[in-house]
Amino acid sequence: MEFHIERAKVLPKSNLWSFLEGLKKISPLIAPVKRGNKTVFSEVNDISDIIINYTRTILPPKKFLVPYRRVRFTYSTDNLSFSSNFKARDQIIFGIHSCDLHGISILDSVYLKENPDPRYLEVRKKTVLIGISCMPDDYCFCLSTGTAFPDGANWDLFLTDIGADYFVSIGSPKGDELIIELKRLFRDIEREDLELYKRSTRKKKEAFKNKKLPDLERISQLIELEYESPVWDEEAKRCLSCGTCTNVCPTCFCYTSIDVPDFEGKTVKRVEFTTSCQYPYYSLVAGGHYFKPTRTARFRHRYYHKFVGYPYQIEKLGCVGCGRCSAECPAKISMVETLIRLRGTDEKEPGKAAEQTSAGRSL
Amino acid sequence: MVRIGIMGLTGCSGCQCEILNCEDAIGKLIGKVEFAYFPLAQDVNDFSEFDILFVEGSVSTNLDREKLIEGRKRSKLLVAVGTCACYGGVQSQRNDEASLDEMLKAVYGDTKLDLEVFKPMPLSDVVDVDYELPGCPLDKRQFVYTVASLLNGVEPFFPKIPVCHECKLSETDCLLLKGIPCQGPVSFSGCGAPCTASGVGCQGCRGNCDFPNFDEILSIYQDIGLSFDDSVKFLKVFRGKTISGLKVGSSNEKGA
Repeated sequence: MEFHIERAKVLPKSNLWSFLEGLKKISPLIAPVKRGNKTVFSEVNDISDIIINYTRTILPPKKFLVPYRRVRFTYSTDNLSFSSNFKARDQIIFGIHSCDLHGISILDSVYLKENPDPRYLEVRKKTVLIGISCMPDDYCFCLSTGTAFPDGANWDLFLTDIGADYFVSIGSPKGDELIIELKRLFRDIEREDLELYKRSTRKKKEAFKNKKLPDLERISQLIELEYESPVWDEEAKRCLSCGTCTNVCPTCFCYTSIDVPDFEGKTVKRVEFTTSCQYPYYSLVAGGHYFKPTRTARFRHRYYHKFVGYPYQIEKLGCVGCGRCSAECPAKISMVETLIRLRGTDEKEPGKAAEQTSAGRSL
Repeated sequence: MVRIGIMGLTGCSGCQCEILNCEDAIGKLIGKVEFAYFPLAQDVNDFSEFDILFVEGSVSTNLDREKLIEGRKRSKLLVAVGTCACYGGVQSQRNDEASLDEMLKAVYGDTKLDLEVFKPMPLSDVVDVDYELPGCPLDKRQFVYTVASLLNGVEPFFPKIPVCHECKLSETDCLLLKGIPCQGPVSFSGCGAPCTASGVGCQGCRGNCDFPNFDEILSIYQDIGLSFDDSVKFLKVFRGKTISGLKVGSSNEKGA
């Protein structure tokens, strides 16, 4: 569905809580809530727990579309009959930032483009995605990845903060239905709202002014050209291979599956769980060979997949600039820094660049 | 009927207790398998032969060694349970720092022991071990999964991925980033990361994950205020012989 600006609505901020209460009556509601000092997406019982202004959650909303651990099916060893009691439920995910919506759009391409995963499709059909605008912190680089604002049409509603109100864009018929259901809370847009909406876009862009942003121009080529760059070794030296970067990534989708028998050996569960390309066993094959034998190879592989592999597979970058991998890395490795350093060796005099970029860093 | 044995060497018996705590699983197992030998739990025991023998504890006396060698001969499969059996346990954390005489003097003074005693070592130093289930204590779910797999001739699958995997997927805030010493990034997961979830840094009780990056973790510990010596000691507590002679600066070899 196209983005029809004329069908957008305005939600006065004073009506936000009634809107959330209304959503909760329609379906189980998932939204950002506080956990310790951080924010996480969680099903909410009490809407007053919902955090409207947050920067980023530890895990992306992906976990409600593809659980990190899931039983694909069980089978009987007697007659090899397969069964699954999987059933998708209706759910509304509220408060998703633009980068995460783009992340879901990437997952959609991965799971639905070729050989669609019927389970993912069922979950997606029953899920309503409601986005909300945000302001960046020092880890965000969505302006570089082109994901700072929602586009496409994989979401249902998007709330943009325009001061006293939210400008509500409608992205799908499901979004339309919600608006109709809760009509009394919205008002029509006026010319002034459009001006404010445009201003909010400008405001977010301006917030990036003094931030370090990677230049992603021809990034696929850059990664390929710099495949042998010493930057990979230098950065990978600090890498703990803990897999945090991929586990918190909104677009990573790799998993392992194992068969777990019961005591009698009559029924076997096929369990799938999230894994990471940063773990050595990920590339281990029979006979003990590692396809990615060194930390450098594994470290580089993530960048290679995000910036070369995804564009090749789904014609989009695999990174949405959410900053989670850098914000959560125990070794404080930053994707932005790595990309800037790579660009440095590419576009400056080779000898000098290596010196300049490694100076002032304590390993 | 499949004959199972569960025996303990030098250790606290905590892992055997943990096995006893798998009440649901044991209920289901009785009738399908015979617990032929389990002195901690039953009075009548038969040490003749086994299909699977679970051994807890480290080897630190001649009695341990004889018992273990005998058990190995009598069992088709031998599974080391708990960190002591897998790596030597906390009792072996200073193996590379003190001589046996010094250790005996510190603990027993001048008392003469009528046993042959040596530095605590993992089972694998004495016999072939088929599977290792580390942990202090071992994880109940892993024990049940291992038994179910072995009874059905399936190889249990324990990828040596770091504790960070389970910690992050349970959305626990990173303790290292908060300045709390944590061994998650260099330790073998499978526990479900309960310590970090309650705010206590991972103590590494399950030993090393694959190719741990000790250089980086030591540098992080020093950044958050630990001395180098304390950092190394912290890492050594549970790792037994798997970390003795830890060398710094030898990373990025094959597999690293």
